[in-house]
Amino acid sequence: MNISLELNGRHADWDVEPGEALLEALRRHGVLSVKRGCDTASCGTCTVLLDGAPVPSCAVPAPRADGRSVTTVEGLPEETARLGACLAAEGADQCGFCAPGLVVAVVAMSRELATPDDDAINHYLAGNLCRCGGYVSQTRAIRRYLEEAR
Amino acid sequence: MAVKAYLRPKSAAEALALVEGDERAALIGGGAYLRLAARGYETAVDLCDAGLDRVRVEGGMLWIGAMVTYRRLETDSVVRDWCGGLLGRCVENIVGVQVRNIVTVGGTVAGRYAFANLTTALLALGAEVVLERGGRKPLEQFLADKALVRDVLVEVVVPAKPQRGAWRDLTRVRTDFAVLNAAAVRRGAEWRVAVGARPGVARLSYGAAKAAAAGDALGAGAAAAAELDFGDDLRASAAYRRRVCSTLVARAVEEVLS
Repeated sequence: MNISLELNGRHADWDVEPGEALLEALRRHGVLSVKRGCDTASCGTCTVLLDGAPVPSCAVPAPRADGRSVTTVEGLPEETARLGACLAAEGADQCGFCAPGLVVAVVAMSRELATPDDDAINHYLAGNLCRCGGYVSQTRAIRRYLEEAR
Repeated sequence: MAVKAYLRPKSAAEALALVEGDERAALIGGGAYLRLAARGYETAVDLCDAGLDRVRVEGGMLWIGAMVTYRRLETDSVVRDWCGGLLGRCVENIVGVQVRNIVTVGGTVAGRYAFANLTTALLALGAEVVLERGGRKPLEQFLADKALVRDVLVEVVVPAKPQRGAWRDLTRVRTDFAVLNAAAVRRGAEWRVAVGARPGVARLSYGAAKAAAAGDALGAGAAAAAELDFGDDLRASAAYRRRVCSTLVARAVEEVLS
């Protein structure tokens, strides 16, 4: 079936399978920053913005994206560069597999919460798992990113 | 998920017409558990365009559309004010924001998921469901109805604002499903106490409500533990859940009394 969406600010017409997840459709169309992690909506690695809201793309049917906007790190170049620099500076980059999903979730959080403290950051990002165990350094990096953005 | 056709009807009536009498068609609410579904479907009927995502106050009641997400229960000021934050509190630790942005009220209630915190809170709030064909009925009756008639859940109705409500759950990890959950709500002299994840679907404890009305929080906990049935699963044994039940219910009732 055909769907039309706005992907990172650009119009896209895709042919998708009716039972395909948005994650699969994105990767099949070359958006490889969106990683397949748990595939059960538990790890946050495949997070994208759907009409501005962070969602697990592995649990969103691709046909549901028809007529809507989808944003990945490719559509957030400035934020990705700045948060990436903070993650590297705080030693929180580790293997990087979870980073694209984390970046998208942090951008969503920064738009939703004015001045989140560490508890609010950790609560908002509880759905983004990091198997390198970098949560403390990640929180430091995110705090630094938010402070620099102010 | 193996699906041959994917449809996005514009109304609940249109959705019902698509699934009624067709066992090979499936309604899609939030879709969070689609990946875990073992079976395939001929037709997926997604309710995302059916106009079921409204929250409104009408006739002294709060009407929550079936496609309202968990995240909205946390952030919507009308919902927060109406239920004393009870609905937001019961879902705020479920997985992460991403999942709460897709999981819906209707998907949870219609799925009769036994682990669902939301169902326990709604039961304590005295909620009703509105079905496209079946009309309006108490949530308690809907949950007890074993005949799974094909229908579309349109709204959940929460009656008059409670004076107070309290929520308690026990989880092994904060974002995990609850080992057990409990909610207590008081409206004037009327109390409602619900316990879920036993691991069966949420149920009211009338004995706990009676003890709570008498101001006896510990008695309410003991009554709920004696009255309800509990079972074993990978999270806990029935005996453990029974012990936890008395404590969680007592604490919830105590909070409302205080």
